[in-house]
Amino acid sequence: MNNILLCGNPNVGKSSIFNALTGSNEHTGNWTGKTVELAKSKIKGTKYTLIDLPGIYSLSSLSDEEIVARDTLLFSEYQKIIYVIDSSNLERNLNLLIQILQINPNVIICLNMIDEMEDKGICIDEEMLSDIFGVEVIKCSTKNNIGLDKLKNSLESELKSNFKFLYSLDLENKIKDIYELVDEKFQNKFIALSLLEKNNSIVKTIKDKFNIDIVDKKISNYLMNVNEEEISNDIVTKINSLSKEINGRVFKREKNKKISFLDKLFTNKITCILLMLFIIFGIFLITIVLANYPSDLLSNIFVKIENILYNLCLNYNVPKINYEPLLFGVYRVVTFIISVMFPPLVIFFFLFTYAEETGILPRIAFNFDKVCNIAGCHGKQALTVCSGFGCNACAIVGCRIIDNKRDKLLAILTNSFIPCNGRFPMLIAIISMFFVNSSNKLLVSFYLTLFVLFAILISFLTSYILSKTILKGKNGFFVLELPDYKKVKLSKILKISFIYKSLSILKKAILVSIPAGIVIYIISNVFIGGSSLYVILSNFLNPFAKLIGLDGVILLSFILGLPANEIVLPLIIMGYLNSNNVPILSDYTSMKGLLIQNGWTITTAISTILFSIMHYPCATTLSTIKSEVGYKWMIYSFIIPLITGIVFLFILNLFI
Amino acid sequence: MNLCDLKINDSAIIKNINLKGIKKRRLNDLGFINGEEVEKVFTSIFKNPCCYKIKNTFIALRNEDACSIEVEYE
Ligand SMILES: Nc1nc2c(ncn2[C@@H]2O[C@H](COP(=O)(O)OP(=O)(O)OP(=O)(O)O)[C@@H](O)[C@H]2O)c(=O)[nH]1
Ligand SMILES: [Mg+2]
Repeated sequence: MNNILLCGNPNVGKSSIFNALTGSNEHTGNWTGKTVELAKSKIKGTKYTLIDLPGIYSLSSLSDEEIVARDTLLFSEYQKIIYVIDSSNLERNLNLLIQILQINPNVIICLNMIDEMEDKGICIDEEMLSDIFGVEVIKCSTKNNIGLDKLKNSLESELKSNFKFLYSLDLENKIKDIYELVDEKFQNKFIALSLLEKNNSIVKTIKDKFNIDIVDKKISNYLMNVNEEEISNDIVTKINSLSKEINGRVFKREKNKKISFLDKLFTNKITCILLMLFIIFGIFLITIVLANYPSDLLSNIFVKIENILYNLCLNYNVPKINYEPLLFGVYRVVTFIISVMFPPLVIFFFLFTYAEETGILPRIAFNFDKVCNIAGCHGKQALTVCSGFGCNACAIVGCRIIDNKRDKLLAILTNSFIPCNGRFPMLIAIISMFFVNSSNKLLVSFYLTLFVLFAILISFLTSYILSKTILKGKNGFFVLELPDYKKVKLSKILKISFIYKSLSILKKAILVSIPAGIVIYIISNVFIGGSSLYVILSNFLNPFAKLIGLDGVILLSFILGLPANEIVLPLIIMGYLNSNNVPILSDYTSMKGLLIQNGWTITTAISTILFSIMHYPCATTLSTIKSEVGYKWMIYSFIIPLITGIVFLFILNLFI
Repeated sequence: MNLCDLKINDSAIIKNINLKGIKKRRLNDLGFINGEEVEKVFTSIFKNPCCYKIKNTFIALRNEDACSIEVEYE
């Protein structure tokens, strides 16, 4: 009962407020539909629990997020609603507010982003706004930490909105008629209007929640004579004119919105494509250059620590069987992940979050909708592709922003082609060893960009093929808001990307790699007829692996790497060493020597990179797909990239 | 005249939305409502979709859909 709902249009800063009040780490970003599921957390220093709802434009357009938000507003127990408004967009924000007040008058209005008002030449009379709705109005800026304490204190207020308005006489009579026909607990203006609009989804929710068919004989007879289009028009016009009128009274704007310089660049074919290539290339280059130093430093430290631990074990006569699996198995895999994977992860996520917060992503979706259409998919797939670079599993959840089921499936099934953060370090390592002199960071980034463009191409080609075969159908409706570009606060980005994203991914990677390290140690030390299980397995896979340009060890490493792509490369190296444990992999030259000794050529390098792009998704991604769209599609999402990869590599290896 | 025929930087008033059901409702929610002023601000690099300014926000719409929205110069 102590729940507080955070509600509002998309991209108004709900999740930012949520994070500020609860100290948690929901993802934010300057594009519509960043939050797609409910987040819950305690507000610091109070008894209340805050619930972050997905952003919606109204309660009746019937996309999945809207249904979630509507059902929570209508049927869950809560104390208050914090309605968040983007101050520079008051008028449109009022529409949803008026709809919500029909459901529940316990509202606090939060005028967010007031830091931008001056720049934009905007002035809002918040006292008047407060008088009109009869609720508290609090000015806020999560960017500059304004108003958040006041918001917290206002949760105790008993104020209820006394805002009332009437629809046309005819519609009001119809609402009364409906009240006569339904159970008392459903005598709510919003439900009555939804019934009159013949909104089936609310009927379904009521059936699921209360096991009642609200549209009984009497109601369905009544609704026969109702023209739902007319009713909808009536409602929309009434609410729109109300918000227009209120906006006119409280909102003043001196400057009109102009097209920004960046949008001029983004809407010209040449500058747009150059700019995008530059962004991708730049992100990789900065990541590779900067990651080097902390990587070296960390791996030196870890080697020193290992020596100390090793000596300790020797001094205290710890039996070999006890310390070897821990030190040479687990310790080395974990420290490898930390020293080689973590620095690029942090830097990449920082740059990625930066790009996300500025508002570039929706421009990409806007510009490439046509291309996506040709590939049979929805423009918003460009957004989920971008998220895939960070983490495929997160991108799968993000596919909820695509309303149409078919389009969503296309986006989900083709997302694992996009190399995620867990795969980049391996791609960078192989490129640095086999394609260029590793000190030439420019060329490394260049090749990496080429492979990434290839991955995007394959992802869309597969979409195309799927849309012509198992997922035939028409492309869904496309509307997308292009939010204003935002000046980003570096300290905030640093905090989000480092503490929230990178550390949590690192934690996950370590948690999977510990058991993986142990399993690997075991299978390399269980001997059957003179050779270890590891050797037997890799020999078994070898003939097949050779057909696609790999070898048994590489293929086995991909199989054992199912829990996390991060561990594939250390597994490969381990496989080649007879010492049965993961070696210290601090520099590329020694690694390259080892690979060449084991028969690697440039073909093996290319095949391994391509297989890393085109194989099954990692275990986390698979389980996310299962919970999003079910078993059947999880299996498809496993098979499709795998077969693509095998066929592609088989053909490639016939020719080279 | 339809919204898709509008030239860049031209603005007009929405007269009618010839769509039904969810599509229409979606557009309504974003501010595409009879009587509202709308301006075409820029096109995407492949000329489809285009971006319109409505209620001082930028909204992208495909040309196919914009062609179902009747507009009239002020
Ligand atoms: N200038 C400024 N920007 C803000 C403020 N609050 C949030 N933002 C930015 O606004 C954008 C959207 O913020 P989110 O918190 O993701 O918005 P949301 O309402 O949760 O969005 P959805 O999840 O898509 O509904 C981000 O880029 C934030 O950094 C603020 O007070 N001032
Ligand atoms: Mg959010």
